[in-house]
Amino acid sequence: MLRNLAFLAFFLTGWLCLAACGSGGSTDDAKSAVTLPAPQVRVELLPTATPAPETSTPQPEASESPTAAPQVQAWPTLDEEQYLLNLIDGMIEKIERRLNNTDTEIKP
Amino acid sequence: MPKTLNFKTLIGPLVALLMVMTMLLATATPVFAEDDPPKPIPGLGKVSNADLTKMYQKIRAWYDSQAIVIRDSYELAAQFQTVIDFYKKKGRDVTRLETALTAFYGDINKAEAARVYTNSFFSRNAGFNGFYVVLDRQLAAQTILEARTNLKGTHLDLLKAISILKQEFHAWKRWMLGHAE
Repeated sequence: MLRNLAFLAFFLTGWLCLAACGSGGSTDDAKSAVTLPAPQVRVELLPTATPAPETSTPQPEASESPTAAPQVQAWPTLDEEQYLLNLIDGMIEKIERRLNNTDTEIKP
Repeated sequence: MPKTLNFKTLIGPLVALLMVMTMLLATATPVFAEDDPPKPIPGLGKVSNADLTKMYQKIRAWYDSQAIVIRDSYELAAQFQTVIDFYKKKGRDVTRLETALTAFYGDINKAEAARVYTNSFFSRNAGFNGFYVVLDRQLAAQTILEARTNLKGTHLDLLKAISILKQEFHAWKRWMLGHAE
């Protein structure tokens, strides 16, 4: 009987130790993290681009020919003609290759 | 007083049961491990059932490849039309290309009809089950032979069609470069 009580006491002590470890630590850590402060937004005019100083631009003369102005393109274009012809050649070649590579022999 | 069963009383019936099972399994074994010797089939020579399965799979792969060729041919024809329109806008003579394209369309339409017909053989799957296993040797061989005949005919037609289109296109290109602005 005494032996059983000793075992019980031993296990209870162990359990209490484990429970103490689990709930240990400072209580400060358990506090929720401080949230970030609210953003400081000024209710004012939104920043805009600095207005460029007004300069008097010379008006183009009417006598200038319109073709003189260079045509600026955003990106270079392909030579459409060459592209189309090459595309047809490539497609024909692809089909021919597939046909010629087909294994028409069915015997294993 | 009830008599208890022990091992000694059971050993007789157990041995008898074992003997019966052995005899049954001994007769059933050859059915599962069926011999598959090559036997002659008209048009295919000496072939086993496993050979027929392999042939059917090869025919099926050929059919798939041909379907891709036909699809690519339609794409080529559409692109060819773009080229015709492009040069027409530029005021070039594209009569030769138009004639070639019309003939090409005729050829690929014919090939497509043949493909649909060949597909019917695979839909019917005569002589085989859904797992390419031979159920009827004669029917299986017939399916293979007829599908092969159709595929071969379409294959040759497509080769000829693409060759003519290429020839016409290159001839037109040479002519156009000779008349370049």
